[in-house]
Amino acid sequence: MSWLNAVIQGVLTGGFYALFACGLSLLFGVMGIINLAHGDIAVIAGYVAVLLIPATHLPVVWSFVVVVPIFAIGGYILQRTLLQASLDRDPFTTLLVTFGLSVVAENALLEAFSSNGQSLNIGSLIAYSFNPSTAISLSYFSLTVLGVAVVVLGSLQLFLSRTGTGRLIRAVADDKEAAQLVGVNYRHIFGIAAAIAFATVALAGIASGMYTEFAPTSGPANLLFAFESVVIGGIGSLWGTLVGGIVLGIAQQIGAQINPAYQVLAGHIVFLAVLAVRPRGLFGMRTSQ
Amino acid sequence: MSAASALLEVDGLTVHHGQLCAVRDVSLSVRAGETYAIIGANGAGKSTLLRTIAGLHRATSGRVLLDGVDLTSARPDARLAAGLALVPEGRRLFASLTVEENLLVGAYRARKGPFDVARIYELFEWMVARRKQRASQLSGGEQQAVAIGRALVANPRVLLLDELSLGLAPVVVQRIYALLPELTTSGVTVLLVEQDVGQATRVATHVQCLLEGSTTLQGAPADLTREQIEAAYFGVAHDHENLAP
Repeated sequence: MSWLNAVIQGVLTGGFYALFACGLSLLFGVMGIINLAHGDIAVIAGYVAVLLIPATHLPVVWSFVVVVPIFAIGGYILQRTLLQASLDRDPFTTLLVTFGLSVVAENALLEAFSSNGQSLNIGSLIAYSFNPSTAISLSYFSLTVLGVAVVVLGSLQLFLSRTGTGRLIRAVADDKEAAQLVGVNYRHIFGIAAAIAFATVALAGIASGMYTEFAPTSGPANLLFAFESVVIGGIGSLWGTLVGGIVLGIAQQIGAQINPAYQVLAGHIVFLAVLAVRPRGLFGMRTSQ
Repeated sequence: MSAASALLEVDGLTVHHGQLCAVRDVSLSVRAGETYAIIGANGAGKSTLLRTIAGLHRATSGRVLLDGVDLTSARPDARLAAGLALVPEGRRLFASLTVEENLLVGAYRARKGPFDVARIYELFEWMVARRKQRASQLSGGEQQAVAIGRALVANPRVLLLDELSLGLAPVVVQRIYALLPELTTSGVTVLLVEQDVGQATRVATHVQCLLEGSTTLQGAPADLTREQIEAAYFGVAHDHENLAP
């Protein structure tokens, strides 16, 4: 029964990973950027919530209503300024710039908030769970996060496939020069993609801040798990990212079941195995030039 | 052919690719309703000229004016909105989008005019049945038609066509070129680049020949002799006789 529980907990953890990963997947799919500051943005979102919520008098659980739009706007602005300037040079510059952002963010947070862990306290909401048997416990909060991840990925998929703006995003991802020729300002489209990516990762950061602690140095671990989810699922496939997150979550929980020290290691091993057997990931099909 | 009556005016355009001067002081003026052909061998600077007019390359010097409005420093998307649409070399369709989606993206900043997606389906009836197919699944000729349709739905004043015939079977090329008179009737002015001299002189009202980035010859096709064009195209004087053994 404890193995079944491990799998179930893995699926629930996968919801967090998928939420972390979908912005990373989108930015890579559309612009070919690997945003190395992705995990730190989630952490910053946590700190922004910690700072802002007392002033707004909102219940902490609703903090995302304030923080997510801020990050969407911030994402658009950052893309149109710093990230676009680095993209105009070459992809390698973008990698260095986002790495630099990550270092700056981490140290600025350390300076401002010390290295102590913080969390977003939503009180007893976090403790409710559904217990179908004595060995299995389903946290309502984790179930909600998994549900949110499914809804976010599903909406994003629908947005990309059904709306005019989504169509433009796909067109720019295919060929940005040809997109310019049909009158599309690809910089604006990149900005929209970045806004979505930052909004989703802010949501992930807040969810994780409610569930567990975060500290200025939590960013790289967030990034690593998000990156592994994207690669396992396959680049360019949003549902693949969800499956990738769940596969990673299950692998980690089963690893932890064998020996608590193996939790992260088991995830890495599955990641490497998928990379070795299916380099495009489980659902990756697009051949990007 | 005074400058005042020209719809598209290119004035002393010079373009560099790094150190290389690809287009050297080229001027042209395309009047409304014309079909204007730029001919020249591989590497003569034809495509660079067209891409610079569309805004994809920055000109070192010279100006590009559409109906008197200076577009020299405008971005490509702004030039499209002003009425310049380029069908790029190699089609460059959005491969993961369907045929219909490609056309819809083309209509994103469309000006008012006779063309919309429905009109394109009238021009190319086969597209209706295949509109849900991905562009990457079409043949080269079909892709070329979609690329033209994608540019037309923007209702350009001047349609820039870069090497339509490249990589296509002659019969397919014929069919695509047969479309040009209809476009002219709809009020579209055409500036095209073509390696195939025969094709260009058949459809064009005016041809201009480039050699190593410079204009070597221009005029109405009827006024130019085959020898003149050959000499301008290859850059050799009339010394065929001397070469004969």
